[in-house]
Parts: sequence; C-alpha cells; structure tokens
Amino acid sequence: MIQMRENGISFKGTRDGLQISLGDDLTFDSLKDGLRKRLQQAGDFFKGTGLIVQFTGRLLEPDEISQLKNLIEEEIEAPVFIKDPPDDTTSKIFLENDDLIIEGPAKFVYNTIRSGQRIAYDGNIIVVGDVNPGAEVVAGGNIVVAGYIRGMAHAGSDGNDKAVIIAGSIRALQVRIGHLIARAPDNDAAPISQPEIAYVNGSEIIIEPYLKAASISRRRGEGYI
Amino acid sequence: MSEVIVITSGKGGVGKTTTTANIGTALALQGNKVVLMDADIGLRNLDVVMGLENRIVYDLVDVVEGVCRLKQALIKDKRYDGLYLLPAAQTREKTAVTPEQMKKLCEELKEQFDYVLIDCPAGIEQGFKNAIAGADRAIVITVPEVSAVRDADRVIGLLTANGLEEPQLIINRLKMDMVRRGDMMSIDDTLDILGIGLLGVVPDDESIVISTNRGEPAVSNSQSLAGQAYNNIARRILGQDVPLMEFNVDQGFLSRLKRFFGISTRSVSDHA
Repeated sequence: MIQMRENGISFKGTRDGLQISLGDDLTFDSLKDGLRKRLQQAGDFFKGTGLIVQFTGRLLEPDEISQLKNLIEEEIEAPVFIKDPPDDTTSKIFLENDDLIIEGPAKFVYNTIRSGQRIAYDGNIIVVGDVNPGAEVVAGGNIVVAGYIRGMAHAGSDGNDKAVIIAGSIRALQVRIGHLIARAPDNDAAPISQPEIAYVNGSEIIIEPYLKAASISRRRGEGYI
Repeated sequence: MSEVIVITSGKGGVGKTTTTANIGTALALQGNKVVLMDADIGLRNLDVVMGLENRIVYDLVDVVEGVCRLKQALIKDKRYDGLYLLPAAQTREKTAVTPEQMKKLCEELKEQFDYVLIDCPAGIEQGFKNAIAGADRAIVITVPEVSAVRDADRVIGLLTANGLEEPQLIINRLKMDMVRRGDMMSIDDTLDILGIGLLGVVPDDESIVISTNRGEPAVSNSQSLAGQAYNNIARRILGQDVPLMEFNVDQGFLSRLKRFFGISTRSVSDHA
C-alpha cells in the first residue's frame, strides 16, 4: 500500500485500484493544481498504465469528476476508469485499538453460506451458520462464524492486519487476513472441534483454539506460545 | 393436493434419472396418479430407464410450442396403473423452453396428477432453471463423494435462493463396508456439510444396473435392496414415518453366527 499526503491530496493503492482522497477544505481549482503536481512528481510511476481511480473525501459534481478524469488521463497518457465512491452506509470506519478492530458496521447472515455463494461487505461479517467449501466470505473487518468455516474467509480485505476470523472450527481451505494468505495443510490433520481464532502475528497467520484468558497482544507477544 | 417435485443434483451421473423413475413408480404402486417429466432436453434418458423409448411420438417441447396437446405427448406406462411419462425432446436444446413455459406446463399437469416428478438435467444453467421453475418441492441427490457433495451444496444454495426453501436429501450408492473402513463419507459426514433434511439413503446395489438396462424400475423387484430403499422414500414423500434401513447385506453366514453368539465382527472397525 502506498500512502502519501500533500496539498490536501493523498494516494492510496488498493487491490481494486487507486484511491485518491481529496481534502474538502480547498477550492476545486487548487485541488486540480495539486493533483497535477502530484502526478508530475510521481514521474513515470503511473505513465502508460490504465488506472482504476476512486475519489474519496469530497463530494464531486459529475462535471468535476470528468475534469479530474481528463486531467489524470493527460498526465499518465493512458485511460482512466472512475469507480463510484464507497457507499457511506458501509464505509469502512473501524474503531481500533493497538491490536484489534473493536467497533464498526456489521452484516449478519442468518444461514449457511453454500458453495458458489459469496458474501462481501466492507464492515464486519457475522454468519449464523456454516461457511461451506466453495463459498467465500470477504469482510473489510472481522469475520465471526457461529458454525464451521470450510470454505474461504478473507478478513481485513482492504489490507487491515488487525482483522481476525473466529469460528466454531476453522477448517477452511484458505484463510486470508489483510494481505496474507494461509492455506490448509495438505496432510489431513485431525480437525479441532472447538472455537478457533485466526489472526496475524508479524507476517504469519496463526490459527489456534480460542482461549478466553489470552489476549491478542499476549498471543502476538513473545510471552505467548 | 397435488405436488410438483424436482429431482436434482448439480453433478451428473449420481442417479437423478434412476431415482425419478423409481420414486415415481413407487408412488404409482401406492395408488397415486403420477407423471414423470424429463426436463433433460437434448440428453433424454428417462424414457430409456422406464423402457418406454419406442412409444414416444410427441415430447415436452412439442407441447410447449403448441404442436400437440398435452394429452397426446403423455405416455401411459401400461405396467403400472396411474403412471405416465412426459418425454424430453432429443433433437432440441435446453433453450427451446423458458422457465415461464415450464411453470405453465407444471400448473397444467397438476390439475390431472397427484405427483409431478421432474428429472432435472445436470448442471446449473438454463436446463436447471427450467426444471425448478414450476416445482413446489425439491429433492437433492448426492453420492457420498466430496465432489458430488460440493455440487449438491451449490444446488441447495440455488434452490433456496429460488424459493425452494427446504430441499430434502437422498444419499445414493452408499457402500456400508467402505464407510466402515473409513474409505467413504458416511451419512453423518454428508449431512454435516449439507445440513438439510434426509429423505432417504439408497445402498449401492448391482441390481439397479440390471433393472435400468432392462427398463424395469427396481421398486418392482422385491429382492432389490435399492428398490426397497426407493419404496421407503416414496412412503416418506407420502408422509409416512419409515425408519432408515439397516444395510448389512454383506455379512456372510459366519458373521451372522458370530453376532448371534455376541462375538461382533464389526465392533472394532465401527469404533475405529
């Protein structure tokens, strides 16, 4: 992830494209100047590559969006596709402490998610049921599954390593948190039938039985084995 | 109160057609007026399994397109009172009919029959959508194999998304001795993943192959274990409370003798 902030403009590279956050305390013209300057500073970095761009942080008129689109296209000499800004009702606003996401919007799914079904939400996802093989659950925040996870679960899909996955048993084929991927071992180890938690420690995803006594920081710290 | 039941699986070759033929025949033997509808346009089989192939004049697509009247396309099975077949077209494609047309056809059939059983094609495309369009109830067939169960799960998801809220499951071709050795998914393993109601379990049975090739449904053969299982399933559809069968056919005389004396030959592997 690239993040730079200058002249009320910040760039953020996401999996889905480039997010350009525009300050709303500046005039539109000075924003345009700032954007042009930033793109020129970037030199050849963006040159010649088509971009998917999403503007955030400021409400733009359709006319302003097309002006910005033309400006970027001019600078990078390549086509630009504008993605709609993120929906306000599902904007990924999480309250976090040092270790964890502790608050944020949540989606409840009251049934088993079956093969071929995909649940995606920018906030937290709570599944009251199982996640079966071939199903996908993708959350911007945490994922909590009352039953078993046998399919694919991706928490912190925007790159948030503080996200965790908790389930009655994690037998997933693949678990993803932030930018990390863990896959099930090839040898069929006897599955654990008790609540488990998956979290990121350093550059690793750890999956282990959920013990009430151990906090995430203790788990992540040296003291916890 | 007549009912349209679609029999589906996602995966091919798990026994949809055989199941449709046998449940339909069993329901007819219990005194119901039943029509079997082959929705597998272009790859029809149900007529062959029923041994009625040589009597097809008109088919489902002809009815939908108004080439003939419904009554003309229905083939009466002379062996079983009240059993009819509405064959699929072989020279057309799934796109020859629409879900709306199927819905209308099902409504029409419901007026004349107690049960309309639809043999759904494999896959989840147009043919599947056609087959489930007019159904009131769905039966999902699977065999105890990971890939079939995966497809069944996919289909259950699609069924519930299309308003068929509580599909029921038939586990076909279960080999009890393999389950005991831990080489095959058990009934519990399968139910654990799919999480829907179990309508019945059909044991792996060679007599099914013979009866299918002969065009005689296994339910008419009282010696066939699979035939018995299908009979039980039909009775459950009729609302009767029939317990699951025990499948210990592979036991020879010696093991029966040992069991009689309380020396179980199975207890070790059962608890392994």
